[in-house]
Amino acid sequence: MMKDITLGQYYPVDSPIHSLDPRTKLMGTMVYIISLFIADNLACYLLGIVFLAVVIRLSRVPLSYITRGLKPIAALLLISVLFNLFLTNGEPLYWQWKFLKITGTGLRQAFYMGLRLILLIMGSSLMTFTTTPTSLTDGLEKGLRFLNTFHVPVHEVAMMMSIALRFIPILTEETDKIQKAQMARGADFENRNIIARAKAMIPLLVPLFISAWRRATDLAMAMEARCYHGGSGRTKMFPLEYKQADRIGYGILAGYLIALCLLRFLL
Amino acid sequence: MGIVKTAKLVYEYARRDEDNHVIETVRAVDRVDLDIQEGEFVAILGRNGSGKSTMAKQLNALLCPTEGTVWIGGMDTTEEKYLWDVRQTAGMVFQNPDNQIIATVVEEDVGFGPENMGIPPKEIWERVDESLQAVGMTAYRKMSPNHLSGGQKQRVAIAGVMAMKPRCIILDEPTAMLDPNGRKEVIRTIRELNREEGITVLLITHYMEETVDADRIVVMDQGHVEMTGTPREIFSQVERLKALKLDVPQVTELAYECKREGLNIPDGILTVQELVDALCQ
Amino acid sequence: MSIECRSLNYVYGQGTAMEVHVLRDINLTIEKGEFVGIIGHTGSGKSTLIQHFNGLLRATEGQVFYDGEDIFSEGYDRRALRGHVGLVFQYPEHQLFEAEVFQDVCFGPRNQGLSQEEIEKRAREALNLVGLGKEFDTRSPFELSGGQKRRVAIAGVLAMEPDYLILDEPTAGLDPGGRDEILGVLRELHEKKGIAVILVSHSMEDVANYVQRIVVVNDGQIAFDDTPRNVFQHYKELEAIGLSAPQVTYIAHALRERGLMVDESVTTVEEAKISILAALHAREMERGRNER
Repeated sequence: MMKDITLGQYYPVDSPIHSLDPRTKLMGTMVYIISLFIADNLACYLLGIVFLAVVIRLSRVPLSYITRGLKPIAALLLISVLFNLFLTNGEPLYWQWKFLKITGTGLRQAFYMGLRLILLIMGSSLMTFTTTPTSLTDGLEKGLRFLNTFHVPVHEVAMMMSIALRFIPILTEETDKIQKAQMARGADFENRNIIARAKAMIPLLVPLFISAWRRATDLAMAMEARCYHGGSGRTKMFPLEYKQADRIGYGILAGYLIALCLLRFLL
Repeated sequence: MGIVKTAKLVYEYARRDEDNHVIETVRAVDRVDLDIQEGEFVAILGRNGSGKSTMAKQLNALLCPTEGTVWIGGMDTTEEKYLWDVRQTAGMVFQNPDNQIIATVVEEDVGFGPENMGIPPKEIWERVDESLQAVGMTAYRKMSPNHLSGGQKQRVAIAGVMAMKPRCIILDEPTAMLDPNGRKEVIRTIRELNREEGITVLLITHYMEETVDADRIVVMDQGHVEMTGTPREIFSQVERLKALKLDVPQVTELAYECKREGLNIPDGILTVQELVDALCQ
Repeated sequence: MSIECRSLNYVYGQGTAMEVHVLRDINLTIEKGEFVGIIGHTGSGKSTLIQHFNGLLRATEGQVFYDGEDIFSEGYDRRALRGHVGLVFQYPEHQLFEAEVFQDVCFGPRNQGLSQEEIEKRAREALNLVGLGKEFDTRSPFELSGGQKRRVAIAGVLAMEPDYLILDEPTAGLDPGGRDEILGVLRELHEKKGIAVILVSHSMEDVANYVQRIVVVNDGQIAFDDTPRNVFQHYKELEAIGLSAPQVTYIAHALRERGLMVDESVTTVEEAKISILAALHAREMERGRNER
C-alpha cells in the first residue's frame, strides 16, 4: 500500500550488511553492477553469483523477498532474453525462420543477458532491503559531496528526495479523494476514449496541483520557522562515519573486483 | 518588557489584479499592542480573517512588520542578526499537521530543528528523547507520521518545536483540522507544557472551549485588538462576542439567557458546576 | 423513495495482511425528506458508510437499494444515481477546479448530459440556494473565504438536483460564523426544497440544533439510531465510545442530581432555558405551598 512507501522495501533486521555505512553499500552496489558488465564468461558469472549469495546470506533477508522483486520486471526480462535468442547473428546456426534464428552465440548471449539482469535487480534491490530511504539519502548526500565543487546542489537534492518520500503517500491518498469527489459530481474516469479520458483528468489535476502548491508553501514556512537555512552549519542526527566493518567491506569489494578482472582477462 | 512584545504593530499587503496593478491595500494587522510575560498562557481569539494568523507569523519573523516593532525576548525581529535566535526563542506550530512534518520517521522529524541549529549529534538525541517524553509520544518514535492520528501528528510537531528549547511557543490554530478527541489531546499537551515546563504559550484559535483555562484572552477583529481580559471577563460579554461572530460555551450562554430572564446569576459562568451552584442555592 | 442498506459489510484490503472489517452488518433506511446526522469519531466507519450510498464503494457483503433497486445489480446506472444522491466530501474546496465560480458549478449538470440552457439554469438556481449572488459568477473560487468556497462546492452538487444531499464534515476547520452559515444553508435546503440532508459529523452540539434523527456509528456498527433527545439520554454510553452529548445535557443531569427537576432530555440552550425556568417556577410554588 502507498502509505508504506516511507519505509520503502526496507526489511528491518539487524545484520552486518544493515549496519554498514550507506556509502559503502552504494559503492558496493555500483561496483557490483559494473562487475556484471565486465563479466563475459561462465567463471566470472559464477563468481558474481557466489558473491551475491554470500552477501544475501549475511544480510539475513529471506531469498523469497528478494526474488519477489523480479516479478514486476519479468516481462522485460523475457523480452530481452527472446530478442537475444532469436535476433543474434553468429555460429553455429541451429534453426532459422525468415529473420528469426537461433545460433550458438545467440544462446550464449541470451543466457548471459538473463543472468546479468537477474543479478543486477537482485543486487540493487538488496541495497533497498538493507537501507532505509533516509539513510540512503544521507549516504548520497555525503558520498556525493565532492560534486559541490562543481556547483551541484547535493544537499538540496537530497532534501528534496526525502521530502518527496514523505509526501508521495499523502498526495496519493489525496488524489483518491479528489477522484471520488469528482465522480460524485458525475465525472467519468473510465471512458475508453483517450481524448475524453485526458479531458477528464483536468478536474482531478487542478485541485491536486493547487493542494500540492499549498502544502509546499506551508512546508517551506514550517521549515523556515524551525531554523532551516540550507545545508551549511547543519549537524546530523546520524553522522556518517566509516567503521572497521566498512573498511573490511571495501577490502572485500576490491578483492572481488580484482578477482573478477583476472578471470575475465586471463581465462 | 515581556517575552513577546509588540508596539503599534501593522501589517499591510497589496491586492493586485491580473495586470499586477494594485487594487487596494489591505491592513491585516492594525496597530496591535501586546505584552506577554514569561510563563503566561495567552489565547488569541478571532474569526477567520481577523488577522490573528498574520500577526503570529510576524512574531516569528516569517513576516516583517509594515509599521511598528516586535520584540521577542528583547530582540527586534527586523534585525537580521537575531533572525535565528528569534525563531528559536519563539517556536511555532501551524494548523495543518501534515504540512509541517518533514521527516519520514517521528524521531527524525523532532531532530530537524536542532540539526538546523548545528547542535552536536549526542545532544540532539538527548533533546529528542526529552521532547518526545514531554508530549507523550515516546512510544511512537520509530513510526512513520503517516500512520498517526491528527492529534498525534500535532504532538509530534510540538515536540519538534520543544527540541529547539524555546521559551515561548506560538500555536496557530493547531486544532482547526482535528476531531474533538484530537483537540482535547493537543490542548492537554499544551497546558502541561505551560504548567510543568514553564513555557510561555500563545494559542491562536477560534474554538472558545480551548481558551477557558488561559490566563488571558485577547480577542481580535479586523486586525485590531477588540477585547482583552481574563476568560471570565471576556465570556461575561456574551452579546459582544456574538456580534463578533464568536461562540461562547453553551453553559455560559445558558447562564446569560437565564440571567436575562431575571434570575440571579453572576456574570461569566464558565463551568457546569458554577451554573448548577448558582441555580441551586 | 429511500436509501436502504441491508446487512451491509465492508472489508478493506480483503485477503491481504492489512484486512480491516470497517463496517459490520449495517441495516439502515433513510427516507426522502429526512434530516439525519451520522455521528462517530474518526475511524468509526462513518465516512466509509456514506460512500456506499451513491455506489462509490461496493459492499463486500449485503446490498444498498435506491428506490427499491439494488444499485449493484446488472446494468444499473450508477452515474445517474450520483445525480440523485449528491455527496459532498470533507474539505469540499478540494474539488474546485474551474477559473470561475459559475463554470465550476456547471460541471455536475454538464456531466449529466443536459442542454446548455438547462445547465445554466440549474447552476444559477444552485448558487442562489447557497446564497451566492450573480456578483460571484466570474470570481475565482480560489480567492473566496473558507465558508464561501464550501458553499460553491455544495452548489456544485446541488446543481445536479439531487433528492439526497450527503455532506462529510461540512464545517470542519470553519470558524463559528462560517459553520452557522453552512448549517443555515442546509436547514433551508431541507425546509424549502424538501431535500433529504445527511450530515456526517463528530460534533454533537452542532448537529443537535438541526437534525431530526441521529445515527451513531461506532466501530463499524450502528450504536444508536433515534431522535437527538433519545440518543443524548445515553450520554454515558456515548462518552464510553469517545463521543459526548451537548453541554446542556450535562447541565440538566447535574441540576436534577441537586434536586432541581428540569427535563433531562433537553438538547439546545433554548430548550434548557425554558425547562429551567419552569422547574424554578415549580420549586417556588412548592415552597410557597409548604410555607402555607
